[in-house]
Amino acid sequence: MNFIWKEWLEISRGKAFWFFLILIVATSFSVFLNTKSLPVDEGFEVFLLTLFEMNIYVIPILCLFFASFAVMQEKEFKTLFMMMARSGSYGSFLWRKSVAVQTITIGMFVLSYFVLMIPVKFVFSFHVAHFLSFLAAITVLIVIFNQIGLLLGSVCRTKIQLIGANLFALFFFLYLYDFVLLYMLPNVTYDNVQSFALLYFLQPMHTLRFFLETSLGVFSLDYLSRTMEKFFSFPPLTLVALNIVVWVGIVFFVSVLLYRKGEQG
Amino acid sequence: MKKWLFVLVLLFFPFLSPPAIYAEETLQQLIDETPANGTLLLKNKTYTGDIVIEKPMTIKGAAHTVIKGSGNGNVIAVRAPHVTIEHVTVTNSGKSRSTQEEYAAIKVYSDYNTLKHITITNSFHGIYLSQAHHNVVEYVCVTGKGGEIAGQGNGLHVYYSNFNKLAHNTIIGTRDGMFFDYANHNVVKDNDVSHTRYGLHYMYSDDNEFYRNRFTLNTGGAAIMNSNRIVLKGNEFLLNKGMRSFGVLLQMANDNRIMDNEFYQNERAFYIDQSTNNFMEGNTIVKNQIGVELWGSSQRQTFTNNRFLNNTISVLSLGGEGDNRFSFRGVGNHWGEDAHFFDLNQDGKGDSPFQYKSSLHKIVEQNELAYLFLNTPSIKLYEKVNELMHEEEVMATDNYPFVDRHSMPWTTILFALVIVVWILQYKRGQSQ
Repeated sequence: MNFIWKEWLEISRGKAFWFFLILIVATSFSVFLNTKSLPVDEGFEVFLLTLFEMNIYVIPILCLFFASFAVMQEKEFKTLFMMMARSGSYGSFLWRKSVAVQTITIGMFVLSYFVLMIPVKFVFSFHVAHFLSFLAAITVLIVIFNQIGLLLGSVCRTKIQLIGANLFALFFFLYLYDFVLLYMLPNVTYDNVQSFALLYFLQPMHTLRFFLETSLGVFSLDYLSRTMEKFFSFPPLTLVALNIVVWVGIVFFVSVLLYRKGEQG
Repeated sequence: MKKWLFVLVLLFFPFLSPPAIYAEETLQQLIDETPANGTLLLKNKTYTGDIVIEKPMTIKGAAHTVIKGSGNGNVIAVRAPHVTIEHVTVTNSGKSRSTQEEYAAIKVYSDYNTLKHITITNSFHGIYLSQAHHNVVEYVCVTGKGGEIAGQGNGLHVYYSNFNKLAHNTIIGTRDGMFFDYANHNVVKDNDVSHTRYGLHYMYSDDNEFYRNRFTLNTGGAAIMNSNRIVLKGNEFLLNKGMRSFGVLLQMANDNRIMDNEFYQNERAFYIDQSTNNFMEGNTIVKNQIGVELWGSSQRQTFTNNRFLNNTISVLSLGGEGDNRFSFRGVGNHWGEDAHFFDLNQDGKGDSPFQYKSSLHKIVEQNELAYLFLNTPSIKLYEKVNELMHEEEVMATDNYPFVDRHSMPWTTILFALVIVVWILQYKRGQSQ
């Protein structure tokens, strides 16, 4: 628990964290103000979807920067070597760092959304299951981008490098990945559509949107063409699990591996 | 001895008394005993159907009156005109699909009937008007029984029936909310349809009018097929999402007027195919993936005074160019952030025609999977790249576009405020 407390003290001392958090709370509230004129019955789902669409842009920036700079700071202050001397390996350090960063960011977001739900409950019909699905989607989004941030923090040696890497990661997930898929589209046929689906859903934002929309019951999977039916043949939860394995599990091991390689170099 | 005799008499008393006095009368008997044009008041209990009404009369239920069918036919069949049924719950119609007819909770074969304040559950069709004219169906709530789509009926099924009024009904989870087949001159208003295949499904039905209905979370909002001269006014189409979803589908539908409706967060607001001469005016089309998907087989559509706002694509013309108009008698449309033109004479309209361009039609025509990318930021980048390479084509030309004054969104103001405060803090920190 000590390492979580230490991380909290470090993060909460920085003004940037609070500014970003205030920004997120304020924009979330503005989403609420924009959607509060919607029908009471369906307004809650629209609100959650709109909030999620906004978070897709905001959470990756926040998580990438905070997680990556949390590692960079340890490197700069040489506390990394002290901690490694105590814990024995970079893997062990990264595990503790991951747990601390994830706990704090998830905790802050979940807390702020619980607070936000207080006025929301007075305006819309509140559905607990739908809210929990939303929290699950947001939590996975946070976990994935924190872990990618920790990877970038492990690999980069300077702050400038790190800023560049963070911006590239953002560009990659928001634009480049889909852009490449768009150019692959003409070659997708009924026979290879499942492979394409796997590639498509390896983009965490697609998977989480799909998971959330199906959980909220707003995305209809009826009357699809044969190709589309085959494309959507993977259950949303399986796709979420796949994303966690790839973007959290594998990225963790890659971080340790690349750090060691960097040290040897 | 006297005591024993008394007990014996008490025990056998029910069996000794004549059966006609104590046996419960069936609902059919009660109906048959009610005189023509009389009123039958039902108690707070469950009556057993199926029943047939063959004379004009009124049946009024209490707060918890239930009429439960046998599960083998229509729970209530109305064969006489001028019948009123109100304040009852009707349940358990026949659901078999291998019978001669499709069953319903209430099937009406006659004219000038009124059905109101009725709840329908566990039935194939909710209310079925079969060659029945001038009926009123209002404040009816139909809840579908779920399961596979072929096993479900429609909320309100109107077959060869004209001049009916359907109002203030709520339909949830049926196959189609309201299905019209060869039914003309009906008025449908203030209904709420959700979680169905098509909220409204039209086949070969002309001259019907729709006002202020709400279609939410259906696979399709209103599917108007092979039908002409329909008026859709003041309706709401919300959250009809899914790869094939739409707010309004016009297929082989001509001369329809679609006015003052609101389309919000649908996959497509309008999907128009093989249709001619439809008139779309004053509709608000906000945050849909596609505002108008217009297939080349459609000709002479008119769009005037519609408001396109924050849609991923406002207009997508597929399969070649059609002869469609995006202005009428000098009145164009509002194009939101898509619009880039001057209004130097400040008359509220663009000084030059506005051409809405896009390159997405190419990938959509090649592969339907392109629809998957409409809600991603990369689509804007794709459009930008194609704009630079002059790969885009004109989707719509508006000769008289409106000029909208854009107000700065909340989030932008907030973001700017936070950045300013941050910079000020940073500078203060540096000076200290």
